[in-house]
Amino acid sequence: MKILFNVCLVLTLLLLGYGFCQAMYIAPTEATMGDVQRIFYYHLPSAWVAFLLFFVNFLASVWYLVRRNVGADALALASAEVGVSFCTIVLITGPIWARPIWGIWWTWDARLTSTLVLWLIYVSYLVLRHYASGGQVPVLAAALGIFGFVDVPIVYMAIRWFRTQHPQPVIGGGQGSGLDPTMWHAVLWNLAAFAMLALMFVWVRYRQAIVEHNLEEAHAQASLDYETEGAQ
Amino acid sequence: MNPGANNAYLYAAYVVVWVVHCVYAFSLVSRARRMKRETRELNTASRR
Repeated sequence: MKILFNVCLVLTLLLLGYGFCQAMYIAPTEATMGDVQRIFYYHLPSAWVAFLLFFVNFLASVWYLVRRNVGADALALASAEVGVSFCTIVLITGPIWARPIWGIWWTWDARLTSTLVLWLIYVSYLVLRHYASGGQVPVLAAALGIFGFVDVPIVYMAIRWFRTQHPQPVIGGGQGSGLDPTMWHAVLWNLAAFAMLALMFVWVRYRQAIVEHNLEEAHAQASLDYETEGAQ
Repeated sequence: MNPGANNAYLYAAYVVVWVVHCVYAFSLVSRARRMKRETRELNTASRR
């Protein structure tokens, strides 16, 4: 397992390096926005990876509620935590890109606001996991994960349903939309790189969540043993 | 339009991406260290 992990780690670093070269040097400069448009090659893949991780959280939450499986709970926690870090990147890179192009850092339009709400939902999921105690916490978190996922399709469809400051979809946006093929390469290489990075983070966090669970059980058993000895 | 006019924003965005990933990776490493220490302490306590 350690060899597989190291192979994946090296592959991830190579992909991240190549994705960076594609985004910064190989992809052509966009005609109207100039070089600042290259933020797109990190902004869009980060958003897609965050959506994917929240979908994994949704599936794992359903799995946990049906089977009460510790592994499913650990996967839900790991995917939510890594998803929040990618969603944070989306929420920071978006305004940095918006400032020189729109002239403003932020506007309360449907896409931006629904993304902020998505981030807040999963941050509250993590706060619940971290600060609440008791046997029902994984059940409550799973319910929050399932209902929280409803916001993902709303974020995706917001620019189709509403008139927004955010640009109309470049991919799957109908006639007149689309990307130059060389720009596509940069998007897909960075998507692959970020997906691998997310996989590595989820892998490590999942194993940690399992160990944390075992440690909690061991602590509970130790205190029970201590109390039993004290009573005798 | 000068293509490089807003390069400071581009560099800032890329730096932010890497800072967020590095901070998260660091948090995973520090959590792993803490759990290793807890496991060792628990093993020592159970041997007593």
